[in-house]
Amino acid sequence: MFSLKSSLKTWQIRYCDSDFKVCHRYAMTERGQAPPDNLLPSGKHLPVLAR
Amino acid sequence: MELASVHFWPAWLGGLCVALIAVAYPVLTGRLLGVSGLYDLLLTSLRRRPAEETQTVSSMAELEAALAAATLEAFGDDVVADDEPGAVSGASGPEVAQVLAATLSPTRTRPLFLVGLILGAALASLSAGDSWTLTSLGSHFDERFGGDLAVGVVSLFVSGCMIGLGTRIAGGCTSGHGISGLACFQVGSFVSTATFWSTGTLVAWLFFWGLS
Repeated sequence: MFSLKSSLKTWQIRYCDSDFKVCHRYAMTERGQAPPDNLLPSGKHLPVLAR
Repeated sequence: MELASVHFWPAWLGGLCVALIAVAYPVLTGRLLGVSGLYDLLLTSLRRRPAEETQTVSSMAELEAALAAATLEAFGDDVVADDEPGAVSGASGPEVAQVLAATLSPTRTRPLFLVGLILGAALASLSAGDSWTLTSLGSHFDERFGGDLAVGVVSLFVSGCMIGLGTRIAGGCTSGHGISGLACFQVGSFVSTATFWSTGTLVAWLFFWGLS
C-alpha cells in the first residue's frame, strides 16, 4: 500500500497534467457542472469520504 | 486619474495584439478565446457539490486506504512515489508533446490568463506614465452626475454586474462572441455582437446626449 500523497500525485500527473481531456471532473466542469467531491478523474466514485 | 487623460495604445497596435492572442490561444489550448467563459469555468471548477454514492467515514486512514485501492485499480503498479518529481512519467523520457500538454493544461492556463489580463493593462498604464489615483470617470460622467466619485464607483459596480448577467445569458462576451465567434462565422455570435453593439451605442447616445 502507498501513501495518500502518492495516490493524489498519481491522479494529478496522469490526468490534470497530461491527459486532462479524458478526465471526468474536467468534462463536467466544461459542461458548467460542478463535479461531486468523490468523483475520480476516471469516472468512478470513491466509495468513502472523510467527514 | 481621469479616464479621459488615460494614455491608450494606438488602436492598430491594440487590435494587432488582440488578433495575435485570438489566434494563438486556440492553437495552444484547443479552446476559443472568451474571457467571461474563462471566469465561468474557473468559478465552476471551484464550486462544491455533495459526494454521490458514498458513505462518510471519520477516519483519515479509511479514506487513504480507499483512495489507494482506487489508484491501484486504475493504474496498477504504475503509481508515482512520494519522492518522485511531479513531471510527466510513463515514458522513457518526457516527450515534448507531453511536457507541452502539462504546461498548457487548463488548470494552469486559465488563472494565468485572467491574472495576465490585469497585469498587462497595469504594465501598459505604467509605461505610459498614467497616475493611479482615480479622481474622475470623465467629463461626460461628471456633467451627468456632478462629479461624485462614489456614485461613479457604484455605477461601475452595477454596470459590471449587468455585463456579467448579460454575458451569462448570451453565452459569451465581447471577446467570445465579438472576436472568436465572428472569426468562426458563428451565426449566434453575429446576432449577439450586433445586439450588444447597437444597444450599447444607443444607450450611450441617449445617456450622454439624447437626454440633455
